[in-house]
Order: sequence, then structure tokens, then C-alpha cells
Amino acid sequence: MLSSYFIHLLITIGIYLVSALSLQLACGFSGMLNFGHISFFCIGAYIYGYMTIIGAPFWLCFLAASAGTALVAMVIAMLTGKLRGDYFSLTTLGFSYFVIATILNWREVTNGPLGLPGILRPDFLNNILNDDRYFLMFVLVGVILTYFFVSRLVASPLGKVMQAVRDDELAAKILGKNTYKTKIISLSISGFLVGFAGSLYAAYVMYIGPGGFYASEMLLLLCIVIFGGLASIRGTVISTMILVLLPEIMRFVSLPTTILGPGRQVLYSVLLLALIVYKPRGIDGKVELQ
Amino acid sequence: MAKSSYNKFFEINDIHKHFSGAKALSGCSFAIKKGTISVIIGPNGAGKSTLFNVISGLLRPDSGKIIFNNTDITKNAPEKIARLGISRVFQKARLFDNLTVRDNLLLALNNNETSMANLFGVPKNVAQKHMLEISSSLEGLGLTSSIDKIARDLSYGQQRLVEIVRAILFPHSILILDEPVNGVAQKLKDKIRDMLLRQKELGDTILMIEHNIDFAFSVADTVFVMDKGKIIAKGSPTSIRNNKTVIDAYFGN
Repeated sequence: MLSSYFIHLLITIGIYLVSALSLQLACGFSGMLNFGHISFFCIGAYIYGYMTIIGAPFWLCFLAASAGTALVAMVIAMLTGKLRGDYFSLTTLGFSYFVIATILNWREVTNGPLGLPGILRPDFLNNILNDDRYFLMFVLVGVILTYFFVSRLVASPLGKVMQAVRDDELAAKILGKNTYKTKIISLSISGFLVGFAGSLYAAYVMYIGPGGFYASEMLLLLCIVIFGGLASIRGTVISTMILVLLPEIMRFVSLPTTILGPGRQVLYSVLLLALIVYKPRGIDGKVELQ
Repeated sequence: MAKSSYNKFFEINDIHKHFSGAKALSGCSFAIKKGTISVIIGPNGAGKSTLFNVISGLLRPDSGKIIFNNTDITKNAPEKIARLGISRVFQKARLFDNLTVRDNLLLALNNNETSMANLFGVPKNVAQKHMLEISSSLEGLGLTSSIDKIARDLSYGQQRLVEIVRAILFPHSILILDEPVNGVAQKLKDKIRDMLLRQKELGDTILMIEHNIDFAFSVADTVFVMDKGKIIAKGSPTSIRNNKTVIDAYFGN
């Protein structure tokens, strides 16, 4: 028997893994350092949450969350696709604040700062997923599908074009590649996947509030991607496990929660800085950090 | 009729381009013939690279036209111009650094990757055909064993070779090269010369900028001399060598 604490950790790793793989697709494989990834996650979570509350069938909730997030990502990519990389990053950072502001103020849908309680899990097989053990399996299926989809995609001709755009957009254009369209496709797929991760999260915790989606939460995702190594799928898997489990050690030192929370942020910030200085290619990085 | 269509294979027509006051191109015009190698020479700052950037759509000219296969391509986007059949090599090697040599070359052969039809791959027979093309194009260049190497791990000369091979593999009807042998060892220069001459035998058309006069004159059918943003002389290598204007402007006193 798995203890419920252990199950909780595995589910958390699973959800972070889907998010990190999708960030890896945009950032590591397509060169789009998306600081708004956490807000895509947030949008997915809120769409899923809202849809279950109004009583939509569960498959539609997931689909709406993923497709809705993909749509938002697509619009962002269309607006920023002609900008240079750093401007793209700044825009997405600004976007993450815009999303938080929207959630705080669009109370009819988001319930503002109070958050959305009463989110439901998918209701198939006699609500079997309300048991965390079965929910873990559900998450696991999502993780495996995402893993194989992303692996397959980046090895495909389309994936190679994404990587070509990352390495040298101008040279890709000279080979007749529609780099603008490529970036839109990449960010949309990334959005679709992270929207799905967000809906898994909402279904798991069954309550979401704006607090979990601030730009500071982006830190962990960035750490995972860079520690794992840009454009490395295997590295992403390993680093997700390590970095999600790392702060759990602090739990056993029985620190007061007032230190534990900020302590996590400090830990990840220091780690991110150390990585950039000492090991910019992470565990298994295929790409030089620029 | 035959004459005019042959004239309009590739024509630069009175191109002007200035950057905040400085004139880079001022009335640049010339035409090149299909199946020939043309070389543009000229002092630094003559506007040669600007001209190439205008041709490949990276810069929009202030005025003037570029006619390719009887069509005005002046206002097209770079990727569209490329797909019309203009393949380009830059002044500095621009491979996709984190991809293998094979992937770099496949990117030239594959097209329409962003269409849903081949989202996950190309048909097997097409892939096989591409691999054959790649291996035969690398033959004799000493690159066959490097095919799975990451591009950034190659020497500069090798990167240059791969880039030229990539441009040749890209479906095109004119190849434009910006100083293909710049910074490349003598042995590789000879290889590049052989490659270009073989392409010409196959009916390819090449337009290049070259500072290395010996190299330029050894491959050129026609030499264009550019100075202060326009063509000041045109002719066979021998006639250019003896042209008084050219000697004054370029070989200088």
C-alpha cells in the first residue's frame, strides 16, 4: 500500500511533469522563453474548475481547458511572433500579471480572491477518481501520453523546424520555413498541454485560488527546465522528480510554515542562479543557454 | 520573345536603399544569365551585402525592382523568396548549431513541415530519397563520417561546407553566396570551387560576392564590379582585370 503522502507527491510530480514538458517544448525546443507559462496553467485550471461547477461533462471540461488555453497561447504567439525573443519573454511576463488581475476582478466567473471551491473530479466509474490512488493512475496516463507526444513531435520534421527557428530564425526563413507559423503552432501545442496540466491540478486539489499562480511560481518550472537541460526530455523527467522532492526534505526538519513557504522560493532562486553560473547546460542539456 | 524571357531570368533594376542618410545602394542594376557563375567584387562598404539582403527579402529597398523568372519579387517575405527558388549562404556560417549535420541538411530538403499532412513525418520513400541525396552530396567532401555530429562541434571550414551543401540541396534555380571561401583553408577552397563548377555543369546559376580575387576570377563567367552602391563595370574576368576604372576603384592606388 502506498501511503497517502507518497501518492500526493507522485501526483504533484506528474502534474509538474506535464507542465515542464510543455514548457520545454516552447522554451527548450522552440526558443520561446515563456514567462507566462504559469498563467497558461492557471487558465487551464480555471476553465476546468468553472466548467465542472456549471455541470459540463468531464471530457468537455478537459477539452475546453486544453483547447481554451491553446487558443490563448495562439493569440499570444500571433501578437508576439514577429518580436525578438527577449521581447516575447517580457510580453509573456506582463501577460501573467494580466491574468492574475483578471482572476481577481472577474468575480462572476472566478469568484475573485476567494477562489473557486467545489471543483469536481471526472465522474466516471462511480466516481472512482475521488480516490487519490486511482486519480494517480489517471494522472499517470496523462503524463505518459504527454511524454510520448512531445518526444515524437520534437523528432518529427515539424519539431526540427522548431529547433531550427530556435537556433537561427533568419537561416530558417532562408530555407523557406514559415517561422511565424512554426512559433504559433509550437506555443499553441505547449498551451494545450499545460492547460491540461492545469485542469489535472484543479481536479486534484478541487479548490483553486489566484494565490497559486503568481509569477513567482514560475520559478520552479524554470528551474526544472534549466536543471534538466534545455531540449532534453529525459533531463526534464529527472529534474522534475528531484526538484519537487527537494523542498520535502525541509518538511522533515520541522521548520515553522512561515519559513517553509518563503524558504522554498529562496531555495529555487539560489538553485536557478547556481545553475546559470555553474552548470548552464543542466543534467542533460542539448542546447547552450544564451 | 526568346530574348526578353532570357533577359528576365534574374534582373536587378535600379535598386536604391539608404540607412539614415548613408546611401548603401544607389541605382544598382544588372542582369544575370541562366546557367552561369557571376561574381560581384568591390571594396568594403560598396553595398554588396546590402544588395544580397535586399534580394533575399531581409531588407526592403527604397525603390527599384528585382525580377526573377519574369516576376517582381521585390516585396515578398524572405521565406517566400526562398521558396520561389533563391537559395542563399550568408557571410558567416549560419548552421542550426544544436542540430546534427543530417538534420541541417534534411531541413533543406523537407518542405511544408507546418502543414497538418506531415506533422509527424514524411512518407518512407521520400525519406529514403532524401537520405540518398544527402549522402551523395557529402561524398568527396570528407563529411560522411560527420553526418551525425552536432553542427557546432564541426570546424569552421566544415561548417562552411555543410552550409553550402545545404544551400545546394535546397530546391532552387539560383544560388547566392556571400563570400563562400572567407576564412576557409586552401584545401577547402579548392573543394568549394569544384562544387560550384559542378553545380554549373548541372545547369545551376550562381551569383556570389567574393573578396578573394583569385578565387573569384577562377570560377566567374561574368564579373560585376560594385562601388558606392552601384555596378561600375561588368565583363569577363580578363576584361575586368584590364579595365582602367576598375583598377582605380578597386585595386586602388
